[in-house]
Amino acid sequence: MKKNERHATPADFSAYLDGRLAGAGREGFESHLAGCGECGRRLKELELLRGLMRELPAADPGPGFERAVLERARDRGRRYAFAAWYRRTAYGLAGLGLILIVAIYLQRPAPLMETGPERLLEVQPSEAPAPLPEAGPPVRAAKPAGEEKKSAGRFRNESGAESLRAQGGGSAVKLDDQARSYEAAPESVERKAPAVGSASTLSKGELAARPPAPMMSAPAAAMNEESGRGTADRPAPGLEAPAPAVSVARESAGPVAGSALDVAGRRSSISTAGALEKEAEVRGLEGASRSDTLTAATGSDSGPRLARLPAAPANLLIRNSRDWSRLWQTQNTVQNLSLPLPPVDFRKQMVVAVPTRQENRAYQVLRSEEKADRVIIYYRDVTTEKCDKDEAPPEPPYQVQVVNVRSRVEFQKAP
Amino acid sequence: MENGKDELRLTFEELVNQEGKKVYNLAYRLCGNREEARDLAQETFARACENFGRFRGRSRVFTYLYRITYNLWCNRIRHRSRHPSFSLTPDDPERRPWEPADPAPAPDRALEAEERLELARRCLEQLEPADRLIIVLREVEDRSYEEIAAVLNCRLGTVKSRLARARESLREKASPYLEAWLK
Repeated sequence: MKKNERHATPADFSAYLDGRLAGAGREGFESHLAGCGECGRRLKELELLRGLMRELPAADPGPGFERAVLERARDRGRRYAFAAWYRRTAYGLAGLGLILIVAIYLQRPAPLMETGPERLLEVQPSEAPAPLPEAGPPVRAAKPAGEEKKSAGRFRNESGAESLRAQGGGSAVKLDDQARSYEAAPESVERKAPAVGSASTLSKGELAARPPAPMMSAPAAAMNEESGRGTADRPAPGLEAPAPAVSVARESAGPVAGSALDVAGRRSSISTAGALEKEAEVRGLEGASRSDTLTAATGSDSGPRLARLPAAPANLLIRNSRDWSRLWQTQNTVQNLSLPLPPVDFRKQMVVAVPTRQENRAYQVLRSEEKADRVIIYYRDVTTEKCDKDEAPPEPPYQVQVVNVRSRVEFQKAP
Repeated sequence: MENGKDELRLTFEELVNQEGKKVYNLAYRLCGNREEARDLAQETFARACENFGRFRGRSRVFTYLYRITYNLWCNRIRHRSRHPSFSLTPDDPERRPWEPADPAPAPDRALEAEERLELARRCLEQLEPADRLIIVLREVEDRSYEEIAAVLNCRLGTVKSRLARARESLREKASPYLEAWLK
């Protein structure tokens, strides 16, 4: 071995043993081996070990090896099939459970909007109406026909639609001219007793799509017959009904607002019908650019939660179908109506209900306008001198607007 | 059957008949115990039967079976290292403790050759699992670099370096006896 010549590496030995060292590399390796005894001995050791490894006898697995292998594979296959079935079943059940959970989650009642405690309407115990029967006898049936006509006659003396809005009743709140708003937040509204008597205004695209006249014509006709009024002096069938009257109008409240269904009702028969006719006519004339409007009778407290700003109308935010159904059922019962519950998708929508009579004042909700982050409810003060609880006939307590869910609701007095 | 595509057409029984002894021998070289090798080979075929759909036929089927065998064996080694156990029964002659033989030349040449083989087998068992596999594949079964690369799922350069390292390790394990054997 020459001076400063390095020994061969294990890789060189391995490649040489396997015949993978060729050309100059092989010649260099062999010349190094010729002069280096240590590397030569190392190569001999590796060759000896390789020879020994190749001499190791092949092992015999013994008889029945193949049969045992097949037996185990078959057994494993059965277990594997069962495990696969079990896994599929478990995954299927888990998926079904997940779907059920999601379905239950989607069906949950929507939370109510929140207002601060200082904004809640304070109602004296004496003002709170008596609890209404679930399906008690209609109020109309309990009254003598003569008395009904008498009150109706008084009401007819009022001037048209304006007189309808002038019905004051039990009350709670005064209105400011300024628009008021409150922040919406779920699950923190106290339950308060609302005022009694009002008309309801309900806006919703789905309701607008319904033909309003057929829906309202049956109860209207029934109440006409009950009141004994002749049909000759009825200017428009369906509109002169004592309780409900229907008019259709388009509302141009804004790009989001869509159509509105205006529900207002009267418990009294003939005179109310006359007033409603006029109101319906007015709305019908305006209707080219307003939403569908349905006027129907409503009656009393629904019992949902009530919240308000001090200077805005007391109002209810209904955000679940249970409260909505209770409100509608109660008003139907009191007004002796059986109108179907207007569908409201509470995942996307909510109902704003404003009591019409509040502290001897009466309000009328005109329309709603939906902005990106809020809903504006336009209302009008329709208080008149006749707004007396004893003289004015009972009214539906709320005007109802169905709006898309927004974080804020503002009230703005219409000019 | 020269390639994996053809071997895909084999029935499982034909596969066991064709590759069973090879798999068993590999298992025996790795385990050093006949019973364990038998069990390991059976387990290899059971696993292969479960997952044979994953074999694409891009390499010979024995490389697929060898890889399963090696992985199962590594799992067993790992399990043993975590859960050591001791047998109370008399020692299996196959598993008797390592006793270095007397390096002095034996009088009987036949006995000496047998002893050399036994010592070589013991030296093989002392190697690390990866070194043991590559020595078995290359030195015992005389597999090509390409086949070894297919079993180990690595490149040829990696095979060369691993093989050189494994040979060197084996030489170091057997160094106490090599001098006497070379005389």
